[in-house]
Amino acid sequence: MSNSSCPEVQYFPIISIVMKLLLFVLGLFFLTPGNLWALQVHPHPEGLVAHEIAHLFFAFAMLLFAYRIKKMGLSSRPHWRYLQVAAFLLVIWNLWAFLGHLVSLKISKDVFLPRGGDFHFCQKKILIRGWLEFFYYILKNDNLFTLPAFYLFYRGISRMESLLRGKT
Amino acid sequence: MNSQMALPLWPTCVIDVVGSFGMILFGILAFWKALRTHRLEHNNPRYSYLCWVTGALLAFAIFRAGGHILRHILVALKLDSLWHTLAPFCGALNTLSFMMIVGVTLFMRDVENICLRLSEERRKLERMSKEILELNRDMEQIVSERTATELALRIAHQVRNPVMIIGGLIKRLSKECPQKEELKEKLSKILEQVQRLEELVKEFETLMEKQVEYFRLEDLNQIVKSALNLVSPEAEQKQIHLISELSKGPLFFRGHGQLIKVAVVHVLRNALEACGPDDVIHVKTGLKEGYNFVEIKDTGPGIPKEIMPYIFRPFYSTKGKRTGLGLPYVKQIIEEHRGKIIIESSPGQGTTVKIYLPTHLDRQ
Repeated sequence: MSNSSCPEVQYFPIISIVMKLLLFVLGLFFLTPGNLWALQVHPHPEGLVAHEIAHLFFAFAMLLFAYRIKKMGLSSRPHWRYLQVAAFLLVIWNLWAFLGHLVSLKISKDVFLPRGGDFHFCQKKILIRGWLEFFYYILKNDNLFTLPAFYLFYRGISRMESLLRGKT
Repeated sequence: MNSQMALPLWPTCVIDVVGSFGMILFGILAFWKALRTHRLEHNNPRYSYLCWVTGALLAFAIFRAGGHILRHILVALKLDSLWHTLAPFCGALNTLSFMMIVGVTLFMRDVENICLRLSEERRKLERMSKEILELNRDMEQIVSERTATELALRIAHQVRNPVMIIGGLIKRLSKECPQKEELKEKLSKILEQVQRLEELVKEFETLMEKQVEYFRLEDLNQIVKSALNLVSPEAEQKQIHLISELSKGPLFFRGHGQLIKVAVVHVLRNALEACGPDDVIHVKTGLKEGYNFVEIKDTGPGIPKEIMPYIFRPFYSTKGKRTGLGLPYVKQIIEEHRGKIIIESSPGQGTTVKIYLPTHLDRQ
């Protein structure tokens, strides 16, 4: 006689694949040893690289969150659907910001007018010399995704609370 | 893009500032609502999990949007150098908040697993409580029918003899006074009423056979098998050997299968509780002198002599938190089936519980 007839939630295979990949990379370090540089320094671009990787992880986590909502059949409920859409918006935002950081690295200071002088960033203009500046200008407005995403998170949970209180 | 043009950056700044304030505002509101939802159903792990998610999102909003707002303010106040000092910390905290969100989100599967298990267990409990209620109702019905039948039989027994005597005397009187037509007619009417009373008494006597509305033809072997299946995981867990020796043929009797199963499972659970690793519980069924029997013998510590006289007494329990209604209930179930339960035990020698159920209900 089985102890429980509780349906087991399927294991998400991507996590397992990522873990195996990490172990493989770690294994390579041990199998192909090189010189040891104790107390490695962390120069300037490292922060940006870490931040960019964090964006990808964040996007993955939000994708997973949205997937789990769908997998558990919660997306048929309006309040959970709000959270699902919010998660999708944050996936887009992360990719958007990821590209934004990459593009901003390529932008020259010369495209901001007027050059020099004591001007606040917001008082300046950007010279659109090509697609790069144009993309920079567009990608800079990433809050167009975060604000609706946060509003939807609030809306979904607020509706959840109302449902529990029996207001709707 | 051939022609060069200059686009103002202030719309970007407006979107950045408004968006940043909005993020913090909705971040706080979402977290506050999640806390309120969690308070409403603090036993639901899903709402507790949402508190963590919104908490991590709020941290993200504060570090990221807060950083953006701070930059605008410091740069506007010509405190660029201060901003350059603070910027790496804001950026690092911002990145850290991303990882916090990742960490929290990866737990969703486990939280959902817990939710599913909890709801499944709740359903199981509800089902069990419904079954117990139904069993109790059946038991009450059986007891009330049995009480009514016993009362009817007692009345029938008390009434039968006087009615027979009255009937006999009336018949003799009508033979002795054949010339008085008027009296003969009256006597025949009395005799008619006496015969009706006799029929009523006979009807009362057949009530016992009708008392089987809740009883069906059951196989004791099947009931014992099902009870063994139910307790075998528990026995396995405690490393107790459960040996069954069921009779080859079916052991039919008329009774309430579910109630008998409850009684057998209860006795088995008592044995499991008493026994320890490597003890043996031997379950045997068979037919003996018109009775189906099930014998549950364990090699546990046995029942102390001073407790033996009280084991069927209601509310008497040696297990602390228990109600002490288990064995009395088992005894009542068996007796309602006109069976008997015998417990033999001596300290250190184990306990043997024998349950006898008549193959026919009229057997006393």
